[in-house]
Amino acid sequence: MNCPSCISGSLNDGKYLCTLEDYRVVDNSDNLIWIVQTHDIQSDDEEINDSTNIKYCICKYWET
Amino acid sequence: MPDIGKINSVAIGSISKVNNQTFSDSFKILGITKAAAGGTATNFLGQQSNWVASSGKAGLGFVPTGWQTNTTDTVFSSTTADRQWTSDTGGTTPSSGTGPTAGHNPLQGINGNGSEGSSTVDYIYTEATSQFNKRMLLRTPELDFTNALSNNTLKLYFWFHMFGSNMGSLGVAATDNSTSAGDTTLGLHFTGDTTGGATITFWDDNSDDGSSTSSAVRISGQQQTAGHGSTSVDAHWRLGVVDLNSLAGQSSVYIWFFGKTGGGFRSDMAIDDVLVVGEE
Repeated sequence: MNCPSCISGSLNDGKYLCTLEDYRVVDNSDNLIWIVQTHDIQSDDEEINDSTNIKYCICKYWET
Repeated sequence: MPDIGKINSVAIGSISKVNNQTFSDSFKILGITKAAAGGTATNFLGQQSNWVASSGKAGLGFVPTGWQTNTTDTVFSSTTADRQWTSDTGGTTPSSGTGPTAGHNPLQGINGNGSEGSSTVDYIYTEATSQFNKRMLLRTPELDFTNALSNNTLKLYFWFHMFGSNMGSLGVAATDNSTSAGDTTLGLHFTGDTTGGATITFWDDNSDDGSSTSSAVRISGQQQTAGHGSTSVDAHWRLGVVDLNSLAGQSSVYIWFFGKTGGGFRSDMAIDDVLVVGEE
């Protein structure tokens, strides 16, 4: 499936993940694709390590 | 005289009352009076789509000129707010599984649909990360309804987004007090977390056209079943409407939005394109 944003790229399966330092897009092996934004959430917060499945393009478009 | 079956598409046989007077079978109608005098359509609060502060900043506590979100403001009785609303410059809220994909498309008016705008269309929301079961208050600038007609045209319209498995509740009140949503003078004040305030009639499914609505003093729990990166109709914004007819003639009115987050981080509720219209 082509990316609706850049058209030329393709959509890949991945995850939107909250880590200790940031919200990031990773592939299904948890390899960093890009950092969405940093945060200052406490390490014991329930949101840390939470993730949802997404599709992403290397142009930094993602969708659920 | 020909037999008249309808007036303004209403079957005469279905009319049982005029001016609240009930007809008996032999009653004769000598004249039909318009229910209320029409007036000039007026925006008492122009559509508020841009949520950055006058300084150009967005984020926790930043609101447009005249709006207010303070933790010192009263929600009800002696209970004050716990936290401020957060303005967002567009796109999703940070946490997954909650919040909209972007602000409501401002080109869709109150007769339009709930589609989201581009990723730069902003909105304001209750950031719930590490802020569970928190009360957040937001109010409009002072509104002057002195010349508003009491003909049932004075209404508040707002688009809302409540996606998230921990979603809390959203209420609307109106008072004449700039620092209290619990002031009793106008009779539309909050009396508790789930009580008091105005009745909201709101879209309650994903029809995206207002064909199905509910009415309550709080919109409670998850409403949309998608958001945060989804552009499906399930993620579209929904319209809320509040009848402000009882406030016609009031010279000083503040409308309050009370969001109370739920017990987890998936409780980012958002509002956008707030509008108050009526006739004067």
